[in-house]
Amino acid sequence: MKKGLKIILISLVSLIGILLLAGGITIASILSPNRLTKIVNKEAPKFLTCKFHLDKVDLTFFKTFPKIGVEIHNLTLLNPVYGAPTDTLLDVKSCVAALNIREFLKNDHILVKNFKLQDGTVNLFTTSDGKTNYDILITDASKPSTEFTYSVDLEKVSTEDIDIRYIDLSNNILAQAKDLNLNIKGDYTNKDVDGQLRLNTQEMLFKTLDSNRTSVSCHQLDLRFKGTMAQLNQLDGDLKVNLSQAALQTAANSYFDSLDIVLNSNLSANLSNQQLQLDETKLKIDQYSITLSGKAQRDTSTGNIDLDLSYKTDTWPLHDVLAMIPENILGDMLDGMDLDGKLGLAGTVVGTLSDSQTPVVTADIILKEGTFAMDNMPLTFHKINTQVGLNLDLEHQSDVNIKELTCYTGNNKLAASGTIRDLMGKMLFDINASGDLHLADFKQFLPSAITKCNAETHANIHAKFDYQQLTAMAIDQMKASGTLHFKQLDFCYDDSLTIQSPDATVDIQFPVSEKPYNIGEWAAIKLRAGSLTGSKLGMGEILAKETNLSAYINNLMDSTQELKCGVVYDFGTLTGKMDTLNVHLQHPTGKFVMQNSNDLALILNSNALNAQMGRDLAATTGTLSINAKSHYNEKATSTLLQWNPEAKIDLSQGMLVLNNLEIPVSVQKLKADLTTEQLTIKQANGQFGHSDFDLNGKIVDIDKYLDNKGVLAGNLNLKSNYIDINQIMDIVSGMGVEDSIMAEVPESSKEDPFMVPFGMDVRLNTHINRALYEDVEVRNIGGHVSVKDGILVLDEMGFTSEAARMQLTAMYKSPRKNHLFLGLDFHLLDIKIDKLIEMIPEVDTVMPMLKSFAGNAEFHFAIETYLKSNYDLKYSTLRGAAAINGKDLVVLDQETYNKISKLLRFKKGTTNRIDSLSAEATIFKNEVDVYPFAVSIDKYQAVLSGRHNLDMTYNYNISLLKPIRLGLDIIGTDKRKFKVGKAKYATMFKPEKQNVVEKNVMQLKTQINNALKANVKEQP
Amino acid sequence: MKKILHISLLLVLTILLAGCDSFFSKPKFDATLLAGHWLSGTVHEYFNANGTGYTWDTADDVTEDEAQPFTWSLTNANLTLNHKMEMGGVVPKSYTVTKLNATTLSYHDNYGVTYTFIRQ
Repeated sequence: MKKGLKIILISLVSLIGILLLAGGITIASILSPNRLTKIVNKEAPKFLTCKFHLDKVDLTFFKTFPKIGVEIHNLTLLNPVYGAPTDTLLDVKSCVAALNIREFLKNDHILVKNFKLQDGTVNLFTTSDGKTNYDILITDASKPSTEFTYSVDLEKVSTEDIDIRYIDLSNNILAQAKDLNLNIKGDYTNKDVDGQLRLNTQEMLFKTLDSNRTSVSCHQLDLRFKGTMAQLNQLDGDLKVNLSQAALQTAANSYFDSLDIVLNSNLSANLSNQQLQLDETKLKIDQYSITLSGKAQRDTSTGNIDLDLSYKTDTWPLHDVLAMIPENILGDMLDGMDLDGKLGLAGTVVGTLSDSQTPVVTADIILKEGTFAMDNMPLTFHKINTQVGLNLDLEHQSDVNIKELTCYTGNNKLAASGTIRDLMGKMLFDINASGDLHLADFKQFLPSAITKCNAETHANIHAKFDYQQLTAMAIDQMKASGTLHFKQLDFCYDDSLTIQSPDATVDIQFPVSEKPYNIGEWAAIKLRAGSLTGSKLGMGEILAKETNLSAYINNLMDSTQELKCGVVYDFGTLTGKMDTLNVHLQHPTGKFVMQNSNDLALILNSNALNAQMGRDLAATTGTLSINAKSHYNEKATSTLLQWNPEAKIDLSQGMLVLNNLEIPVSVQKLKADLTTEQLTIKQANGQFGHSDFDLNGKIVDIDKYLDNKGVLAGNLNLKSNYIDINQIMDIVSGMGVEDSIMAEVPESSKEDPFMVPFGMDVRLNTHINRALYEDVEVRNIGGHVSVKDGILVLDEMGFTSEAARMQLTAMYKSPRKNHLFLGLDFHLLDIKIDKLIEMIPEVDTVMPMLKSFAGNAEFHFAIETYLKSNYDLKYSTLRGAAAINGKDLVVLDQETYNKISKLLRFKKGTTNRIDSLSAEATIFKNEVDVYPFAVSIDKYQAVLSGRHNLDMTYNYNISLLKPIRLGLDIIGTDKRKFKVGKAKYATMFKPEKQNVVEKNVMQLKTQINNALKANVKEQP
Repeated sequence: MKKILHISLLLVLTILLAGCDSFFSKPKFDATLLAGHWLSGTVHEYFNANGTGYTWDTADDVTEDEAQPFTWSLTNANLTLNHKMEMGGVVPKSYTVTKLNATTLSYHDNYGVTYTFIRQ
């Protein structure tokens, strides 16, 4: 600056010198132009070191009116300097000057009334070593240089159509202007300058000649300045600059190439301090206006510039502004972005600008009607309205404060506020966002495992993340919490887990620090929904009403992990479907934990349950409590083993309906523990048809049974007030039987007999007050019922009825439908014979003679046979033995008795009472052999024996021993025959006279009798 | 008078026959011939040489595997079959053999029921 001023002053003084010379000559000689020209040509070399040429010098009045001036025509100054592009320093057509010589000579006051250069060129040049071509005045080197003490008053200094070029190789700069019109007016006194300047040029260029080749150019420059410069140091004034088609370029970049720039500034500059103060400086670049104020000061020692500026812009089109920012400033920040809108900025630039330092830039940014799109981002944003505070501190940390942001993407409305810290680094976002969203538009941001996510959503989210996480959509590395209100939610995860709800609210937070389930908890979710449906492939679906869920899930974004969750739930109602299983729960609450897809845990408390499995099973309960765990093993062979449950069940008011049970099972209370190994029934009491039960005990080795590696074993205790055996037999018949063991069933046999389950060893200890079998009610039933590997055994079951005290051991096997085994070991003590036959009609078949007697007897009966599927006897397999012992029996069949008594010559009046009876019989196929037994009637004694065939034919013999010996054969076929003969068993009951056969018979009788009675147990 | 004579002759003849052992003694049969599989209609009886055996009747849809066991003894012509009951005990049956050879077995019980089997 100083150097330029020096050049101007030197040039000015040189010109003034020439003019003074011309003026002096004029004044001295009052000469004509020729004379004046000769004088100037003669005297000028005394002042000038360079060659010069002028055509003519004459006086002028009109051009300097009202003063008389001098005009030099076609003035040329030639000062060749090595390296300069030309030897011409000055070449103008006209140079007019009007000076006040008297003031100059008397008062050291340079008064320039008028000075004007017109139509020419000026070439200023400085060599690299500082030698100039405009140092053309002869100075006395012997005199010390004196300070410029003149006062100057420039009333009018101007140029017109002057092309000026300045080359300074020492500073590597070039400046040139074309058609320069310059008007200067001012005064200079005691180093104080007061004036005004107007400069206009058609083309201006300033550039450096170094490697950067930085150039500033414009086609039209209009510069006006009015102000003062105190002590040639403090410049104050108003500056107006108007640049047209300005360009700024370097060798590498073109920052702008055609900008219209208008600058209006009230500036203050201190040259020595190199400080610039701007007040309300308005800069307009094309249509973009910015108001600047503040100061800038250059440190003369370091060259650093301290800035303290504030700025404010009008509303700018963002896209155009960004396009104007040089690429080397923006870098790749906006690569792939398409950003537009109406931008307004206001802020400050405070700090030091140097090679190593940048000032802090703050900006309050207002963006209206903005749009934003970015490569690889499927969404575009529009209607962006935002107020953002920017603190750009490249030395430390740059932050953004988003005061308000609203925008739309598709039909989604978003609003946000928050901060972005470390803008130029990691970009740490702390955002509060809300929006009305169509979730389908954001599917591409979700993990690929989420295959569907549709909903109208109102969201309020607080999130923290950085730029890298955002661009990578690493949601699992972000922090977020908020509320999502879904309408018409339709969600699908991994094409297997689906959730739908017309109206649901979700509170979500991730990550979480608490680990209540040890599942790698990543997010906490609370869900509230009036209605919610969900399904999981292979597991069924649910419908929930009045849902309240509090869940933790693991990191869903980690594709290497499967879904894990822990859920505390509270439903108004819950309906579930799995295959044919339908379950409805009333107000279920509890907890569900899925450690992985194979490890599940469930705590369930419900007011009521209603379940149905196809047509096979239906169940209802009152209160229900389940505490269960499951480890799923898909390789297991059965459903139960696959789920591998550990469950504790407590229910009340239950009802179970099975398809193959005609009537439901009512369970008033059930408490049971179930594992794959065993079922422990702590309490199970209820009603099954007409029967009531109170059951407890254990079923063990369930897993071995289901895996075909062992039998199902159990020990159960059954207490009941009443059991309807008939009804139960009808109901449970055939359950669990495999048809593969059945042989071909005859066509005639189409009934389904009761088939005993295989693979079981279950013992049921019974204490039953009353039971109904066939038409007989029995009481005090105590004993054991066991099912073991296809065999049903009633073991020494004792009971009483109105007819007798009884003990029964029974065995029932069903190896195949048409080959059933039934064995009975039956003891009836103190029984009325008529009741016996009424209770067990089969006794009449085996021992038909009994119906001829009345009275109490003791009956022992062992019989076994195989049955057909319709329970018809297979007579070829019938085996049995019976013994009856009685006293004081009455013969009922009077007709037969009368016939016998007549044939055996009984006395008239002999009663039909038998003192004692002890008979044994065997049954083989259809033959009932009655072993000889003795009876006494009145004074008569007889031995009876014979065979009774099941086709109702018989062949009996009565041997009358007293009072006479006489035999009677009674043969029954279609017509009964009586034949009198000798007594057949005369010595049978006289041991001393028995022959070998009779001894054998008696031994068999004893053997049969003892064997039958051996199993009789004393009853309490 | 003639009738009384006839009765007397019959009585004398009976007394004479009763005193003759060869008239009253039963025939003896070789028990070893009994071993084997015999069939009478649909009734099968299988006698093992060790005194055991089993029987089944296909008319009742019973197979050999489902046959019921017995023990047997043959003394002279007295054949005793003790049929075992699965729940314990036996049902004894006594027969008198009238024919036993390589192909045929015949016996009857005390009520005149005769059974004839053909060896299988």
